[in-house]
Amino acid sequence: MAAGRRFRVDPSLVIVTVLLVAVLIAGFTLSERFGTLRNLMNVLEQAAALGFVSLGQSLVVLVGGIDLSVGAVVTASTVLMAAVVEMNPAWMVPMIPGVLAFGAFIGFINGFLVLRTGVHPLIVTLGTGSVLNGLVLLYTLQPTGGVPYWFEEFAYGRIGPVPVAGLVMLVCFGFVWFFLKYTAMGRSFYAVGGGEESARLSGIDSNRVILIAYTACGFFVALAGAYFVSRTGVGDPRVGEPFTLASITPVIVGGILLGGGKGNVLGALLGVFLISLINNLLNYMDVSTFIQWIVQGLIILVAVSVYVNRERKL
Amino acid sequence: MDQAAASEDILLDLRNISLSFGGVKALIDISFDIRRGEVRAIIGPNGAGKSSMLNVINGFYHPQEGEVWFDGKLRGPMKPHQIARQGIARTFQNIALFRGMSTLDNLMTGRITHMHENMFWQAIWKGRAEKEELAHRERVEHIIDFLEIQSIRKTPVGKLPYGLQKRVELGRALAAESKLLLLDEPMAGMNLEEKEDMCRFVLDVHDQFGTTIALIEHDMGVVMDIADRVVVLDYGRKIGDGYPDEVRSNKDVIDAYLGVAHD
Repeated sequence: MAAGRRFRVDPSLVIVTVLLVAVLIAGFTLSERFGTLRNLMNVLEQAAALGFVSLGQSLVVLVGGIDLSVGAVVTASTVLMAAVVEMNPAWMVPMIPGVLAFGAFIGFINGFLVLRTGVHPLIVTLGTGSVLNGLVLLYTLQPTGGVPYWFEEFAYGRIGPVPVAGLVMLVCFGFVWFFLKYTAMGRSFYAVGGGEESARLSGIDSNRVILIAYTACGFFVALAGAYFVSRTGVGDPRVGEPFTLASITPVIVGGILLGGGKGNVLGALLGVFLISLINNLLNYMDVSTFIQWIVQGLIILVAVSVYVNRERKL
Repeated sequence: MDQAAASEDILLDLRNISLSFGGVKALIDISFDIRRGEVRAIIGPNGAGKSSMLNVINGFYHPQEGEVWFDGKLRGPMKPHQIARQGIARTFQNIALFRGMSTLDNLMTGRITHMHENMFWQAIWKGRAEKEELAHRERVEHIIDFLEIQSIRKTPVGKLPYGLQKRVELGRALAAESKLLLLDEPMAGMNLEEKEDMCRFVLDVHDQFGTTIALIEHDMGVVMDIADRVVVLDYGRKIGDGYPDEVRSNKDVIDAYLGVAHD
């Protein structure tokens, strides 16, 4: 029956791809420099941080949660890494897995508190984020610490024309996409997000799945923190602030259902590119940062409206 | 049949089960068993406690009194996912599929209780994890063929008509290859043709896979046709238990269905 074939391409991927193509066409038309390989590779490099946090957020949203501590975890990771390495440069290499483990640990705490208290994750993660932000600001109000120059390679290094950070982001997305699509644990993410009780009665340990989702989110968010240390060479106590809400935009635009259980991380990846390209284009057009915020807000509103309407038709 | 053989023949034995929510007594001192390989119907008017009984069996509710013996062992306090792993699968009165997932993926979630490779090997998709995934996929394809749902295997189940969703839910429960399959009103809301199809599938499941089935159903014609034995509940109490012909002629059962006033 043809009915089965009609839906093989996820419609949300089609929508975000069409938007992406529209932005590219607009960019090629409005700016000479926008379409150059150099600029597009720069966009890929700068999209890495948003990509990492959005990937983490996607996992949490897929299991029906949300993580509003991502900005604080980015900040805490950068400050922790830069401060520790400045004290003892020999710690640089161990601090790379160390800071990722730190992020994963904070994610685990988030998941644990969500499960243990039964309070909505929005409140729990807002709380842990606030605690982390407070601790960081107690430690320093100014950018602090420092890392060896070679660590800049993560943010600025290139393999041919391709930026290392962008490549790492693409590999992470590819790995998570494969994991979600082709493994039992990946299917469990969708099942728990689609109906926690049904998943439990089907033999899925939903608590474990939720813990893994939050832990993985913390891991990827800390990777964004490491990227910022690499990019700026210091730990900035304000660097993560914009990422709490920014991490949600590509998730929504990419068609991942905010209630969980539906969506595709490739959609979130396309959402990351869409947001990054729009910002890049607006920069070339000398549009104020505040206008960029308005555009992002409008994108969220339109995307949510479109997907909510589509969901009602299901 | 001697006592040992009889107890070996029993898959589920519920002894003196009582369940209440605050002051409301949902189940009162109910005992009955389910033999291996039989279709056991649980019937009763609305509010009789049938779904509560299924919820006790699959561990969603924990009775305040009584014992649940499953596969010859007394069951202690367990979480629903642990009970599912013991071999009890279920479909729901109000369909509880994962609406964003395809038919195939919904059925694959049913295989989770049989997957043993850890997350690391699953993610790497090598060696035994790959073989395991492919073997389960093959098993699921067999169920898809059996339920004649090949054409919707990639369709998100949220887009399917009600009757097909019920069939997919049966498929997910079948994929679990459980020892006991709990079907909560599998024909509710279906038209005549869909009911006939579902009846055929339930009987085929029973015949081909030898699955033990506990069935809640309001359509008495269906119940009397496909059940080996029937237990009847009313206001949380057991008022009848036996073969369909015995139950059909039971005065208490007739009164319950005709609406004789309770004290």
